[in-house]
Amino acid sequence: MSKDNNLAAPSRRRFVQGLALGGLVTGLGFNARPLLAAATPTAQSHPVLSGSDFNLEIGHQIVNFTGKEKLATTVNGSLPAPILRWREGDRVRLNVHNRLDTDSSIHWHGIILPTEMDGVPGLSFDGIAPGETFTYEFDVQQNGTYWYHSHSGFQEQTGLYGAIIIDPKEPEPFSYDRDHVVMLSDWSDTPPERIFANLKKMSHYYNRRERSLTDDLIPEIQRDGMNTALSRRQMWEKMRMSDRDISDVTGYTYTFLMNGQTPATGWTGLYTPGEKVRLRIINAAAMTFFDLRIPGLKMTVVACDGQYVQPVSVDEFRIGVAETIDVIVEPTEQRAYSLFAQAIDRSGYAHGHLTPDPALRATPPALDPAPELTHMDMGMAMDAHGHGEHSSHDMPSMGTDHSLHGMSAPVSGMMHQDHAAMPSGQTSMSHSNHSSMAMDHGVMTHDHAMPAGMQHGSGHGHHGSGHGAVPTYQGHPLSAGMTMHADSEYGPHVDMRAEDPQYRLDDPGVGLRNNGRKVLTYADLRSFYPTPDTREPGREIELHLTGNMSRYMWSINGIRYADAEPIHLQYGERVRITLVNDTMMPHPVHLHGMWSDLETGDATHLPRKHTLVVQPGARLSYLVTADARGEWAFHCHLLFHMMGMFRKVVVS
Amino acid sequence: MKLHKHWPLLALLTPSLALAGMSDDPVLGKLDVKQLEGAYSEGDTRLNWNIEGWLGTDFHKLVLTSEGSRLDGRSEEQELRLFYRRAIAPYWDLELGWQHEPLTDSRDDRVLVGVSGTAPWFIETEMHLLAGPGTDLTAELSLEREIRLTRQWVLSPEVGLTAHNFSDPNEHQGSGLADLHLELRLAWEIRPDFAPYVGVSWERKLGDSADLARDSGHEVDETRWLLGVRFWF
Repeated sequence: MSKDNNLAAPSRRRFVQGLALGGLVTGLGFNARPLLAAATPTAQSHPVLSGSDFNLEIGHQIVNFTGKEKLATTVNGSLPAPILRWREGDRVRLNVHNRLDTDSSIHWHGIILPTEMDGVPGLSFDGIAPGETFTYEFDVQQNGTYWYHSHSGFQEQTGLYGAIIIDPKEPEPFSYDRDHVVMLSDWSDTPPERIFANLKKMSHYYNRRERSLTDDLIPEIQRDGMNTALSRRQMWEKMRMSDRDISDVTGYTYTFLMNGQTPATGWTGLYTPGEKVRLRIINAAAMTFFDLRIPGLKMTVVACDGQYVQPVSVDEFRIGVAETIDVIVEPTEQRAYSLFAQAIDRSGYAHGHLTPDPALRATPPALDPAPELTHMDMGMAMDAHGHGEHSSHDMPSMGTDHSLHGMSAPVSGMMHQDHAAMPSGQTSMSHSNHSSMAMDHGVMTHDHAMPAGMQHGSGHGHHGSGHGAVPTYQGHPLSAGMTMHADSEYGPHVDMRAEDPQYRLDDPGVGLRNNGRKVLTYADLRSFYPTPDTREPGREIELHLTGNMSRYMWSINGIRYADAEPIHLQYGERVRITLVNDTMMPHPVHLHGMWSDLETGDATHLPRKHTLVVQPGARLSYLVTADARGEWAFHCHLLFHMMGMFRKVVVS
Repeated sequence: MKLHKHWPLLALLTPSLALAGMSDDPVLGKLDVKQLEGAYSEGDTRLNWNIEGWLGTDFHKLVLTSEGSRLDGRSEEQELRLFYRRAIAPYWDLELGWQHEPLTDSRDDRVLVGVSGTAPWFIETEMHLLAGPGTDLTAELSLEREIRLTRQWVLSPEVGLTAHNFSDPNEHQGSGLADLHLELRLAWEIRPDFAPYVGVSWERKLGDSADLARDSGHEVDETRWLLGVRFWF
């Protein structure tokens, strides 16, 4: 096994745009020297810092990804920031010096550490003032692939992110000959404050794929006939929503980067045919989900969010913002493979070359068609019309026997959407998977009345108490049941609520359904190790991810962070957190300081994650052992959602 | 109007402790030049404008609008409105404020009450009631919808109706339905915030207003060709 990170791949072609940064920041923390002047073919070497003592300097750096010179926020003058290589069991000490003229911070994403080392200004510490140095020091108690980023302002968008590799104490449960970090990100020449303001003033500013007459409606009428095409439009038009609303910020402004390289320059990862190559894929984007594949190669997923999973062979996976996925590939041929990471909305891609020879370059495949949201993504039950991607195959919904809850089930399955007349006839809820997901609702005593606590934003809803003697994999409420929405979810700040949010763990997600490739889903993830804490959760906290897209407001349970009470966890307790996504876009939700054991149905091997993607109109649940005292952040990791969709979690 | 006396300052003071200077609801400003156009008909060319500026947060905005036209370097019509806009539903805002017409000596300032927002089918809707002096009332309705022809070419039909409960012969305003506007603009959206356009407008006086106009020898309808630009920042 090579411990070198083979990021030093020479590129024989030089491009004006997007060359990697080199050189350390000079004394002023601002390196005005353009970095494009290398006259000889440059090695795209990416700095790797290893050991237990690190000096990191946050500063500004001129970059050029689009043909224009812009100022990035970097660590040691490098974008992405240097790869940090730690050893499990070490105590690491990181001196972080801030050369910016504003406060900064570094958060070690997914790392289990004391709260005061977590790097969230206002929660764990005061931030790092200009000119100051903060020393982080903690024991490394885990291994795998993680990352770090600023938790101040919008510095993450402008480049302050880097990879962390923690080498394990014990041998890994798989072998490989070399490894590469593949860090995906999104760069914009527009300052992030301006992007955010643009979204507030015109929420669809960056969506340049809005439906049009010539590009969409006329071809659809020709293909499907006038009635079908028009009735399909009707629902969305009445709801004042767009089924093309996939990403808030798109390739219209973003250049997608792989290890800091544009698609034009293309990051290069080397291998020798016959080798097993471990790719440590990290989504460090501010706003972009990527769908990654390597045409011609199967990928074996061996770890997710740094934690080993039982190997799964896939063709493709979607990686949410802040997630990490480790795969092993075994290229045998003497040819270049395309590392192709297309943005979820297909407005662009990050691209690299996995090649035995830097002279061999891979051609990226064509972008897939732009995805369109379906009823399922709106949290509605399936209807019989089968809009596009639907089929019985990709219907991961679990059958629900509402009668056992003794409530009038909303079988019509319509999402509550304000002031919208809804089309009728969508009443056929699918029970196709009923048998495979038989639930014993008799033993579940969920209290579906909305407790007052939730309306105050602390989210102490649904004190599930009846799981006692039942093994979790049977008692786990994989079927949704009826969904209640707090009073705080009604008002000008929330534009929709999922009426029938389903567990869609085996749903690859919009744009990936039935594409002929084996796409990783959360249902495929089984932890390599048995679930460490096998206690039943003592209670359940249900949180709804809410927002108003057109006003560009984001909240949890309809309450933005500034107005919210913290969520209190009792030290040592095991708690179930259920997330319901009342919006039309996936949200990657990150809990700091503690692991999130994603409930996939097999309670014995719950995958441990730090960031969980809740699909639009869906729900999922996970178990948390509150084993870390202090104040922790809990938030959507989409940068422009975070400020509202955020909670303080207090463990005491 | 005590309501919007204090809110911008309050919003500025909102602490955002855990996020170091980031607010989910910052005070922003927008200057939206919705229409800035030459309007041609036989004989004369007007310069029309419809500009809205606001300062505020997600829910609370202070809005100043100016709408008017100039002919031969002289302002013909001008309306200034200053109002508070508050979100009341996911797609709707309530508006409360004043209207001032700088060019009309006879007309006092009027109180403005309105609702604006997006109706189903993405119909941008504005409803305003102007009150004063005394019991004089004017109601306005405006509906507009964007029809995206291609990714960059956008057709925007707009219809407007005005009605009064009073007569003002000097201004050719009669009681009842007074005025119908139909406008159609075809914009080339070079950027989401910059779009030159061509268009046509047709305006017709109705009912008593039409009679008053006719009696004083004025036209009751008017068609104009438009060439203009929309931009905002």
